[in-house]
Amino acid sequence: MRKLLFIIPLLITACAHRTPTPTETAQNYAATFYAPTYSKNFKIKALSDTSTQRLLEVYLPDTLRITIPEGGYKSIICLSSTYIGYLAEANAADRISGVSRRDLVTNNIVKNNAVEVGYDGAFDYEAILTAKPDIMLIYGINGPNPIVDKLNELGLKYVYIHDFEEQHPLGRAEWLVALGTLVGKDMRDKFAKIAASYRPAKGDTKVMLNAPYSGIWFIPGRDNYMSRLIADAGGRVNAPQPVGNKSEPLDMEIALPSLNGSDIWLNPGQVNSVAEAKRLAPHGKFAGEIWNQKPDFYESGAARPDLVLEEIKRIFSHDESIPFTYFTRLE
Amino acid sequence: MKRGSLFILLTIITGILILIDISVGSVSIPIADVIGALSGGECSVHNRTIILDLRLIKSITALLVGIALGISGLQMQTLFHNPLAGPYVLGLSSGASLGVALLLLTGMAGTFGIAGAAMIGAAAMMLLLLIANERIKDVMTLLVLGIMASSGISAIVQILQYLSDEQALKAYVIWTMGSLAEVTRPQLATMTIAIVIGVIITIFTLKSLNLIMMGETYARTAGLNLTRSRFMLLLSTTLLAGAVTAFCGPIGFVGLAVPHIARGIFRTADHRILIPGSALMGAIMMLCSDIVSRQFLVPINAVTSLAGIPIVIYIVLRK
Repeated sequence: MRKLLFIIPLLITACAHRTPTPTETAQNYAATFYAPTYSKNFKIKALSDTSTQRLLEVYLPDTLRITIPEGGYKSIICLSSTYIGYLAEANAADRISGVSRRDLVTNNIVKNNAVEVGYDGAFDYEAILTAKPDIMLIYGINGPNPIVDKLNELGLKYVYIHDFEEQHPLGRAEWLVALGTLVGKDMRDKFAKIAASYRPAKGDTKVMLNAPYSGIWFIPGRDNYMSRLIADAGGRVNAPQPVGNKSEPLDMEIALPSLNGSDIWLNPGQVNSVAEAKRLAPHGKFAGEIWNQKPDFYESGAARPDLVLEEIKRIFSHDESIPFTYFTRLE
Repeated sequence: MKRGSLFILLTIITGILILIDISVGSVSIPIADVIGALSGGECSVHNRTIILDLRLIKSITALLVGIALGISGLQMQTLFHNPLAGPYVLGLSSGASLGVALLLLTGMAGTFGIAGAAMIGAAAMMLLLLIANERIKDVMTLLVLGIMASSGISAIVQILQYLSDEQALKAYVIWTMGSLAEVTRPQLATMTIAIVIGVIITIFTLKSLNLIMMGETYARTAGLNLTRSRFMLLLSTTLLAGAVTAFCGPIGFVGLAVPHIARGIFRTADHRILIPGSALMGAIMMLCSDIVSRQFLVPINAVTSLAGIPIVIYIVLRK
């Protein structure tokens, strides 16, 4: 009777089987076209120093290599809004044939031309197939995306774009070069200009980030993307921050004094007014300005950290002379 | 209506639901193309891909999930003499959740993938219970152990969720909602084999189930080896519900509600009727849920819960 238990490890092995990803060889791509300065998670190779044939190599969550056809990919599905930002910056928004959560997209070309392909846990594979993508830009959480087995079975090409793993704002923006390559465009100069325009400032504006939930305030680490932007804009997160980029819970007994002593409260979440924000921390006595991100922060903002940084600097200096693209002040 | 006629009627309904399930989707495909694709006749390449590579696989998955959960739910209700027991009562779902949580929230066991991690968690949980089964005489003790282990594991998963970043947390929560859409052909083959083996083991336990239902004392005096029978039932449940959970996530309420529907329709306690009856009713419930889920783009778990909860309430009120 106990011999039947052998079925269990067999079943585990069978369950762990993955549909293999078709791999592209990098053997002939000996030359390096672009080695990123701020990002560690991709590289662009070429057949030779003079060749226009490119290969994109990404390293997260696994190493994946994608050859680039002449003129780049013409029909692209984007599962994250930041990919739209990069492609729009490369003047290739019209190549986006499908997106996830089209209702949240701010780019008008994509809103009008791309189809809704669903989202995590509810992808519409029929819509994906109908969009006839040449390639899909996807991401994985702590490993491959669960949809890749199905994509491999359907013969759909994909590449992981893990820009969100970059915590340095310029490291994230540098993916502009990778996505530009996917559409056959050389964005190295454009990125160099963005990097040159990214000018950190000095200052001591005290900022409180995020909002409490069920009596706990999650504070991002010192190396977190938002923490870096605040530091580069001449501010500092006015709460004990963990080392690294992960957020950690902070008790309200520590978070509330931090909030009360801050000059600016940034990104309190899904609120539309000062009153709503203050209801999230009813025992707080915050008297400063409250600013929230706009949807475009998650779209074009990733590709233009220089513009985001300038807006944060203007928030700190209370300069509202020109409209904000990435932030809005709560009233 | 005679039971034979009922089985024929339910089988026909199942067949019709499969056809409806294959015919509906976000892309409008003419019925002629659906029939053409299924029969190897005239159909555009694009529509054939959608019907054969997406809809047919999903429909077969829904069918198998319903059969597996219906049968394993009935087994657990009989084994524990508890009308509110389901295939996950002993923590199979919690074990799978822990495996997936370790993968998605911490990155451990990445090479196994979600299905592998879920199966490891579920199998580990059931192996612990199978070992406990060897040492425990009273089935209620086993039930309490299973529930306690399940609660403990859920607490660990909660801590992992609490400490994870929002993207990992979202990925985990989405897994708990269940999905039939990501199942590939090799995975469907694995699931089919596991479920077929589980059903074969169930067939060998039909007599045992009828005896257990009369009470453990009666079953013992009738010569039943209770430890062996429990082992077979637990193993069968692991294969049936474990395979479903590994590839589709935890699908709730089907295993709990379907046996009651089967009892109400067939008006018998004979497991030789109830097992195939629960299998058919489970298939019907899952196919209906899949059709609704696709039409309204809601997670399958939400639909099965909304369908199953009224049945559970009815049982409780009736008692």
